Amino acid sequence: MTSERRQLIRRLFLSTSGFLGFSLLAFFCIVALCAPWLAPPPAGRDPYLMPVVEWSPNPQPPSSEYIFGVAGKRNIYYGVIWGTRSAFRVGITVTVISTMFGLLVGAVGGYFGKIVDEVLMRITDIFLAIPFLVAAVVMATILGPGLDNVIRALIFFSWMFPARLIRGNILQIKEEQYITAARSVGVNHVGIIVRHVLPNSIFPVLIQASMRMGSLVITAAALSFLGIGARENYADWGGLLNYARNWMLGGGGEVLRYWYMVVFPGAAMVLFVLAWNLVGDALRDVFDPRLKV
Amino acid sequence: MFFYIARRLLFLPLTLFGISLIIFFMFMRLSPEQRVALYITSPERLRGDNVERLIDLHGLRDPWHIQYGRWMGNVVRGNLGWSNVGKEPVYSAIMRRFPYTLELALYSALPIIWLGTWLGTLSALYHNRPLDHTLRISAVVGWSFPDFVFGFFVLMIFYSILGWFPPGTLGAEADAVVKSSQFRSFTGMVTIDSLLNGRLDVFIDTARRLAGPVLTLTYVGFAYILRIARSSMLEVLGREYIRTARSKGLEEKVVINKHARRNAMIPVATVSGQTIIALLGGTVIVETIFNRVGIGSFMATAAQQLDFASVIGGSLFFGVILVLGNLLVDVSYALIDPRVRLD
Amino acid sequence: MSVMDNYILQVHGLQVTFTDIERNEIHVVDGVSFSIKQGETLALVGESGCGKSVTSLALLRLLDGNGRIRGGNVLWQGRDILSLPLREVRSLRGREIAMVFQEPSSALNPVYTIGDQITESMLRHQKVSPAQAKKQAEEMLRLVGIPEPRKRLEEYPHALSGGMKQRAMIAMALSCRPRLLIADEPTTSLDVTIQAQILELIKELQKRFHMAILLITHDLGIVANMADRILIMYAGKVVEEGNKQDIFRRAAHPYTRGLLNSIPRMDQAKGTFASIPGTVPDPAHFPEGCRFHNRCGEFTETCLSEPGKIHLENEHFVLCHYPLGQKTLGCRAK
Repeated sequence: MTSERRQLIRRLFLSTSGFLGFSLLAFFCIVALCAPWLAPPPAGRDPYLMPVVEWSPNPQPPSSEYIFGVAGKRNIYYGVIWGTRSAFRVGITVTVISTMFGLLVGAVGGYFGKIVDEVLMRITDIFLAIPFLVAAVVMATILGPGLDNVIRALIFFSWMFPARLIRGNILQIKEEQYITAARSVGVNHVGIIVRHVLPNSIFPVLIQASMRMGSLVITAAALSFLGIGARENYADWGGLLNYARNWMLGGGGEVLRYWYMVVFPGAAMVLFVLAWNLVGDALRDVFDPRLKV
Repeated sequence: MFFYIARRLLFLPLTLFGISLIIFFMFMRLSPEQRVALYITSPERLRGDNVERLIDLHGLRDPWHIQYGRWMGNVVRGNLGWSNVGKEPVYSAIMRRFPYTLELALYSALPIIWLGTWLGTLSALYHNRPLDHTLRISAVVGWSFPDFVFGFFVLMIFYSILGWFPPGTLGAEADAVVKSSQFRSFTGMVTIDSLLNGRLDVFIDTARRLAGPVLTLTYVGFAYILRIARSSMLEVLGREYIRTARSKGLEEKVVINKHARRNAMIPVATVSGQTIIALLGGTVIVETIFNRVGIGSFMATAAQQLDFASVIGGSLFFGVILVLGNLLVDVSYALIDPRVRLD
Repeated sequence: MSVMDNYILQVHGLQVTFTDIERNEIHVVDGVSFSIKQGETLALVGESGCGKSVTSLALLRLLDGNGRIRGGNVLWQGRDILSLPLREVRSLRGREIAMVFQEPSSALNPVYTIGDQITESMLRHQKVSPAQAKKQAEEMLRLVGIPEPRKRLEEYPHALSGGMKQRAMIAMALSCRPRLLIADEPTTSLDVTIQAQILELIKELQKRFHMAILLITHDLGIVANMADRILIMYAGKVVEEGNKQDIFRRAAHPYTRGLLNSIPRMDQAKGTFASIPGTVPDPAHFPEGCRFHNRCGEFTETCLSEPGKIHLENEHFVLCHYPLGQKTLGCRAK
């Protein structure tokens, strides 16, 4: 059992996507942890607020001083480094909380069935029928700017996915014998869910969570990009891209002149999302029983 | 079948009711003073006790169920309200923009589904060989691209450098043609209307402007179909009936194209349907970046400006599309797969 | 049953390996040899996992994924199937050698009609028009005892019961009048009453078409009913071979004895019913020497060396250092 598990973990790390994904994640973790040394903030100021380095609002291409260039009077390099922390914060907080909540809803619905399930699933359907980005935009606008509000909005509109997954798993497992056996012995409901159902659903949920991590970071960035995400000048990749927006969209054929405003924060974001997707891919290859050949 | 469809349709009003409640409650978190801004058309009217008067006039301090009932009453009478963003009634604002979004979604769906299916099948047939790895990696990379980042790259390369795909919906000249009285609108989709009107120049103009957003949506979206097509094909190739087909002496081409593909395409067809639905609601960012007219960019602006009537109207519109679209997908699923019965 | 040239299929030293996740080569079938005569039924018997299904698939090169044929030859009327171009193997499949599988519900393609799947091989191998093929298919369905054959042609597999599906499978396999039918556990998934019907059907059709059958099964009851000759496989090797009487009356290999003793019988004295201790070894770790030694009651040091093939009587062979019930029995040192 343990040697089998160890072998699975070995396969997880040895697969191409697993290796690439975990390496990238490790890299981003190091960047996030070492941010104070990689991009020292001015003394006594909130490090997440990008300091003003230039007085001219015009963007400046990369130079020896500002290696990723300057946008909106701010050093892009500084924003990319400290933005890593924001990305982790948004991704992990939203994924963990929405997954927990989804687990709760899915577990309650799937386990009790009948009317409870019907009502919970109707509510889930309704939430799924709302255009996600629009709803998040409305909520973030109403709550006001700030990363915490983005997180709230994303949680509010993304718990349905784990809820559905876990419910499906529970319905499947419920059919199986050992639950009946456990119930006849007289274990209570919560005990059954915690001891029998959750361990069996943990891998599908993990796979989904790591895949969702990427898309959540993208959505959070999209909100910032539309100008309703993090507070202005907050170190956040989407916010950096928002600086680019006006120059790119208004710039006509000049778009190319401002490439650095898109390429550096964009690359950080793509690699970050890619890391999670690769990890999710590797997890699925190793743990999804349907794909075993 | 009939009862299945009828029962599913019964849930449509319930879903719409739920959507409107959620959005309504989000807006109720705003103070009456904030919400009154929606009714103010010019800054002069903001003076003095005007604000209080307007709040009273529109009943913004009433209990929530009265306010909701008032809105509902209007909707039932067919009045979705006035769109501040569109400067026209919400209903016509949506209907005027929908063809543009539909056009974009359909043109993107074609390459997404085609590419995803083709490459996914290829990937499965070359399972664990270099081609498979290459395709999977490029799909995951595409999947990891935020549409606004990739859209910028498309703008840089295909507009700035090559000058092929300009942003916008229509150029000034083409726009004048479309708005002129000689140009008859059949579908509202400019690519089709321009051809029906025999205006090739308009068609080329609008097609060039569509290419950028289509390219972006395709690259960001084909990975999902590829993944489904690949795993579905792999699963089917391991099935016993494939061995049976081979044991009959059939050519490998027949085994793959007839026996495997038809089975493998069942989940792909379902996901393709869902993709089209998702595309209809997923053009917000692309329309904003490429500066296009459409429901996506309309909703984005409305949401940012807290234009209640437009947001709730648009959300209900998407709700209808989603429910009907999913129903269509499920029904066609039963038509493709002889084992599925709807009841 | 006299001369050598009666053999329609001769298999010599067949070797099949599988590659596991860690990329180790595992010998699943190790030097299997046998022959089948025209019109006879050869039963290939063994517990699950002994390599009997893999052997049958290898004959037509139908191994998929990571299965590889590493040696031996399979002579079909003098031509080695293993070295023929794949194109020619395909023209043999379904036309001269056909197969019936264990689980009809998964062996039939769910999205094509029964008719489509039966006519398919006729259209592939015979010069017939679709209309003719359809007529022949209807005839075949009638032959295998499916009521309302015309209606069934238009139906999808899921509309048929398990027994009916297997009948349709048989109709499909026999549609081109093959000379050899490979039946891989054809009745295992069916109810007992249906099993008997299907076996009777196969016997009847065998007589009618004068075809040979390679019957793969773990059920000695079926073997007693159907087989002319028997091949006992254990852990990738043929351990005993002989005609039905020799095997059932004078089984020489301890494993064969074990199998025979594990059939419950009416006339059996109480307490003698026994099963073989232990399980079939994992192909990745076959025991050294005689592969049965760790489960064998007759085990001695000698068994750690590879046993040779011993000719006992007419067509009776055994792969054992100490064949039971033979003269050698007396000299065995214990």
